[in-house]
Amino acid sequence: MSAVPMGDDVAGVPAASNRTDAVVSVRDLEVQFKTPIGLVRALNGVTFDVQRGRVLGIVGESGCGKSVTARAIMQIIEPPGKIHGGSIVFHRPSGQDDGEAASQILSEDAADTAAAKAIRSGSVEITTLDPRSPEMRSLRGAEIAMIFQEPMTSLNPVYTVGAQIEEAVLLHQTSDKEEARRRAVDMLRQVGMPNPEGAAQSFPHQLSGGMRQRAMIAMALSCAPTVLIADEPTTALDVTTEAQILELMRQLRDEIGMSIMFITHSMGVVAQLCDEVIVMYLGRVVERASVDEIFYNPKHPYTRSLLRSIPRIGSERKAPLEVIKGSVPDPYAQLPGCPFHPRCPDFIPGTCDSLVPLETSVGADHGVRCHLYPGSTPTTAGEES
Amino acid sequence: MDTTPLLEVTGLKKHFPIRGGLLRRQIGAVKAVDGVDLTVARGETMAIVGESGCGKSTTGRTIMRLEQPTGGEVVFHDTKLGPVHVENANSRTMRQIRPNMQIIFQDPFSSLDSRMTVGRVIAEPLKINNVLSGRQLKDRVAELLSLVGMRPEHASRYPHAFSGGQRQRIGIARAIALNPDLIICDEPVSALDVSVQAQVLNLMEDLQRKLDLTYLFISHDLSVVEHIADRVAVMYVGQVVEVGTTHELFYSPKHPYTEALLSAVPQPDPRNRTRPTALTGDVPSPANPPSGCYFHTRCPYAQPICSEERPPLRSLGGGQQAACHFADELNLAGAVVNAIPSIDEPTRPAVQNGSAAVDAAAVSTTEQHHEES
Amino acid sequence: MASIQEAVSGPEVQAQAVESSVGEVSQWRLMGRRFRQSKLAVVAMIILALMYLGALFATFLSPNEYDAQDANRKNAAPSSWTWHSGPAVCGVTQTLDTTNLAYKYKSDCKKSVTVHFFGEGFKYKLFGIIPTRRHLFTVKAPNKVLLWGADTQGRDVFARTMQGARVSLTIGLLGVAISTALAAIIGTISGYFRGAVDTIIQRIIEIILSVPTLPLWATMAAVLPRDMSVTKRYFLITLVLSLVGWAGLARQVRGKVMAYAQADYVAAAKAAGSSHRRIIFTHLLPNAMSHIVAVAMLAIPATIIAETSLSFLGIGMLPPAVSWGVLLSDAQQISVVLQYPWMLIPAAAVVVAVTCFQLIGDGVRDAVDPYG
Repeated sequence: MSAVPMGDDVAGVPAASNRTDAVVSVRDLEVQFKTPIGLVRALNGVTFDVQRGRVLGIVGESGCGKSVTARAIMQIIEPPGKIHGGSIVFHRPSGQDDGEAASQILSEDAADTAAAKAIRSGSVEITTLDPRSPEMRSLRGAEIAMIFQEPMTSLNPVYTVGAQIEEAVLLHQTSDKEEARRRAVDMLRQVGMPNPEGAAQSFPHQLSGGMRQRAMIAMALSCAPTVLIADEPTTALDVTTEAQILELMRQLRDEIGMSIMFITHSMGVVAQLCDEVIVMYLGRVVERASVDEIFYNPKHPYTRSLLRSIPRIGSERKAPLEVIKGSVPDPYAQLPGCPFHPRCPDFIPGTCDSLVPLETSVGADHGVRCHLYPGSTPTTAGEES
Repeated sequence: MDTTPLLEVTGLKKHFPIRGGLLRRQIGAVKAVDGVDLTVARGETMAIVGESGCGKSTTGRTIMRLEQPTGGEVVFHDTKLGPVHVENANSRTMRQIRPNMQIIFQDPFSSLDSRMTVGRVIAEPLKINNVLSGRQLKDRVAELLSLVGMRPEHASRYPHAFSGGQRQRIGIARAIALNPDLIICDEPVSALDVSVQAQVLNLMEDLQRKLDLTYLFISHDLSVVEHIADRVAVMYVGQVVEVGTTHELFYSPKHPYTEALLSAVPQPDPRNRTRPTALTGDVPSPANPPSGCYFHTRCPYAQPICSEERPPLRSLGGGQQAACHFADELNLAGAVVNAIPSIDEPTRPAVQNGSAAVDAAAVSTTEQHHEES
Repeated sequence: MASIQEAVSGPEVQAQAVESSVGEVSQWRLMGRRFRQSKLAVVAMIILALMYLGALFATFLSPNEYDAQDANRKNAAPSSWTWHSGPAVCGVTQTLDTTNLAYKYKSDCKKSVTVHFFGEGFKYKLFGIIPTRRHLFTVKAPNKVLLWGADTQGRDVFARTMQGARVSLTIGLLGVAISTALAAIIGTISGYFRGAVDTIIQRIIEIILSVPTLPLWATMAAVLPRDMSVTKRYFLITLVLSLVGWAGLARQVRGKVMAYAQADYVAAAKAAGSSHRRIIFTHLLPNAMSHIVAVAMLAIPATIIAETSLSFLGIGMLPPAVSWGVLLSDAQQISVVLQYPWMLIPAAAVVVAVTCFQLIGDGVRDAVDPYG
């Protein structure tokens, strides 16, 4: 991938991220679904890093592959989906510092676990692991945890919330039942559950949507994972509850340095929570930058159109919104060239519909895949200008 | 704008019985809608906002009499029949006024019968009411399709061939087929992709102007409501807690719940990160609402009187109404105005071939468009 | 890069072609496509089609009359085949084993009889109207070709199985047709109108479903007088089976109708002023129909087995009528299993037919509801 640095024509906000401190590195990831009707290329070479202690937002519309990306990292893609190429590397904490930081807040007695984790330090290539192997199973939950849009899919309706968290703790951390129980209640308290003792003894269906989401987050956090993948956790919630969950996410990042990969379709949520953002469209990353750059200096026509088309409080009422023509193409249709070209306001005939743009740098830590920017067109034409 | 009301709703109630025991006797009721007052003027867009379970959708369906109201009055001012009491109209009267009140649904998948071609879906209301037939019916369907921005030849296709946004357009075509006065829009853009929402919102506004439509716009999305509505009613646990013009309600809310809702909207601006007013606790169950003001269990300004006495919805001047004991005293924060970052157009690389001029024209129109908004 | 683009443009062209054609394909045709994807169901469908053809042309296919007794062929084994300027059957001589009083048959392939195709045999009416003597294959009397042997009365088991298929294969279809019609009407009323009507219908269904079916059938069948004509008895047995069978079906129809009645398109039709009748006939029934078909397909084998069981117990179809159950009731001695196993061929026919219906039912269900 030829990334031609653009230099200083862009007033980029200096990104605070340190490129070397990635917890999860995804490179050229390809996922395909072979269905009876046709081949769906759900991911077409997706590359990004989740930085330690930061929130990476993955934003995109239906069919852009954001959920598939999350599921690929967890190795829980539904059949017939298969990882077809690329790599996903999970970088374990190099020292004990992370473990200690987490242990101080999560639980006083988690230090032994953190120490145990440190022993198994080093990087893991997730794509080479068998999804059912013990290595993958111990990675899932204990080191990378995931929460979903619908909490009922990951909570078992026949056990109390407390019992389910205890089970996770017993599986990965301690064998002392009393201790596990204490930690379960502790976990529920940490995610802001009012009356955590009561909540621990409730069944999932007895809790409201927001409380269920908190219970699921408590379960996901019970083993002090390094990375939390959140797949649209607030989409099914009301705004007031959504605000609470976003606040909880911020606390997790700021207080225990959790690395979060937050998947959403809401630009508002991205703006309020994320540090870095990748914008996906039809299985490709079209733009990647800090949140400020994405909102104040978007480069890709898709990002720009998307930002202009959302109704904003305070904008002139009744004025027609700017629209992106057409709709997200059928997943079976594999478009040549840039996937956005049929809807793009800046479409360049002959280039956009035939050549897949490469990622090019348009500022500090700001990459874009669009033929409008020099270095993106994979021929010499791009280099000339 | 014409100020004569098109729709007057007074004390509307819809209770769903909870049955139990061997004989399935009623042992309680979910008070989904519990005394809603609304007035919708001809030609305006009245929005109902609220969180899930607040009864906003049920209110819409009860007004349409898709659900039989438990109590209250719904008066629809029909152009021909004059004021009609919808809640107890006989079936003959209902048949006459039905064409004037139509509905658009949230789910673009459940709202179209997958066994019918798009043409049949749109023609159905016309056929039911024996308005047109044969050639004229076909022409009308084609006309409706082009009105909503689709091609007439789409009539022979089945709904599964279309995307969510296109399906929503088909649903809108069906709703306007009978030239209604009032359209109840039940979360019409919530299930759509972000990039398609704007298309459908623009279409709805466009049709409102062309066809003199009145919208009762039900939504949970305050940004969308602020964009489209003239007036807004906020619902909480089956009741309207505040009504006002969009500007009043968004920038000087009088009910603490409105304030909390507004502060919770995630603003699409990373330089304007808000810490929303944290509401404690959960939305009360409409089967067992609390005493007094339903919001007192979560209200940051609650006083002893709030748990004892239910505040009525009262006028606060300028058409704004709120159901709060302290509506006059509280100084509540309105919505944060969102500065729209100006986005510069990218400089296009030099294009060698002849299409450059066309492209440049395309870019400039987009620019103009942007400046307008 | 160029190679990637080529690889990418291929499926795109295809996908566009698919998109434009798929748009105008109705749900039924899409279901047909999905059904054809399940190979087992298609094979089962072919086998069943052959069985029904066999039943239709039973008399043409059988060289012997199904009810002609023959003292010289009691318990005769299937004929041995040989070649004598064409396919031929071996001559048979009957002897009585005096120790256990059983007939023994000796096959002598030197005295073979050539089989004639489309030769003349016993008189019958094709489709019940065209009088003819033609048969697919015959041998010169008094020789007989016994494809699947003979029963204790010397009657041709092949002819009897074919004849029995007429009753056994149609009673399933007819019975299910009646119970499906009942179920569709009652289930739709129950699911659409809800309320007290629904409660009453549901309690009735629960009562019917809680009664063990076999004794119920037995009682109802036993009430039918024994001296009834064969056709009358056939229709009454069908009615008995369907009167019990509708309950489970109705419950499924009700569930589907209830779900569809909640759909927004039904609300839209109501909002446009549609009558109940119109909603039921244009929206609910057409949508529920595919599910009704799938459930009905799965109910057919149950009815076939029910008829077989009743006839086997001697309270269903009665001799001289022939059904697979009647044939099996004739074969219910231990000696059959040991000495004359060919008399169990009707049981194999039941198994094959029932399995085929199950496979088709599964195929239809998957085609109708690919995610269910």
